[in-house]
Amino acid sequence: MIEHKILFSGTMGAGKTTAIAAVSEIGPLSTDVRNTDASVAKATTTVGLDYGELTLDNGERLRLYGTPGQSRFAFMWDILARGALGLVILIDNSRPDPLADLDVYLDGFADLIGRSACVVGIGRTETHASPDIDAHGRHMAARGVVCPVLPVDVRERAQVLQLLDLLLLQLESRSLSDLRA
Amino acid sequence: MNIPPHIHAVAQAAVDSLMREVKGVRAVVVSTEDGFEVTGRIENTAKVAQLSAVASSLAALGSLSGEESNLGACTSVTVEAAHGHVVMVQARHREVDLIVSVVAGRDAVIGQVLYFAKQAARTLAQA
Repeated sequence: MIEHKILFSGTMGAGKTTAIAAVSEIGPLSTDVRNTDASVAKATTTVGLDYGELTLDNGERLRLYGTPGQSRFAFMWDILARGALGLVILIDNSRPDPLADLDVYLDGFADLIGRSACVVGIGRTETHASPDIDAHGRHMAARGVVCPVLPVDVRERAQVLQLLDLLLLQLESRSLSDLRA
Repeated sequence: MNIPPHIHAVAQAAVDSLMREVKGVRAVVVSTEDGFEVTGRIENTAKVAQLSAVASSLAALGSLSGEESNLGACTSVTVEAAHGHVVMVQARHREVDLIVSVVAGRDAVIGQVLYFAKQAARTLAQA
């Protein structure tokens, strides 16, 4: 069986654990503990990793890994990025500076983004419309990163699957380009 | 992160005790389960903030390993490195879950390190 490793990262509270749980066929594994950071209204936080699995229609299996969101766990980002085929970045648009948040993950996963594919999901846009999707796209383009950006509600399985579809389409297109080269 | 003063005082006493009483100990850090330093002392180049975050991840991964192996709850994680050991013991306090991390050189007796670290964790859990 062909298996691919896909990584979910992004801000604390953006819904990485929820996104993996929404699509995983197995009971997702998580390493959530009680959150003591009073600046974030959240009961628990991931400190190690999340893990889930998803089988595609063609029989290939995705192994889905979630990272901790906070920069103090950047050592886990490096560990989990090894061997990953693509990256899903989740941004919480209700935070004070979502574009600065995006920079943290574009910088933290620059190597992975450079050698694979990336898709960005923006959460809570229904209550926090600014910056809008175009602003996120322009921000990434200004940094030389071109990848799909779309609003997402990670509680909805179909929307998380759409993120993964977009990621896999990029990888497929890249493979075809490599074959032609 | 707000750690109640009485817990902070017990944590500081635990750090001092481990550094004083156990031969070969190079660093002791007490941190929250989500990776924030509460207090610590170091005699080598270990970085307190980074050790706190790493201990948080390792303790959580240890717990996951115990659960997935049907071995029950994980109470401690021991890392054996070329020049010594890192022992991480969880302290379940009713207000905040803590981790006691002890960095010990090869000259330390690992059983003694583990014994004193667990004793410190018990004291912290009851603070």
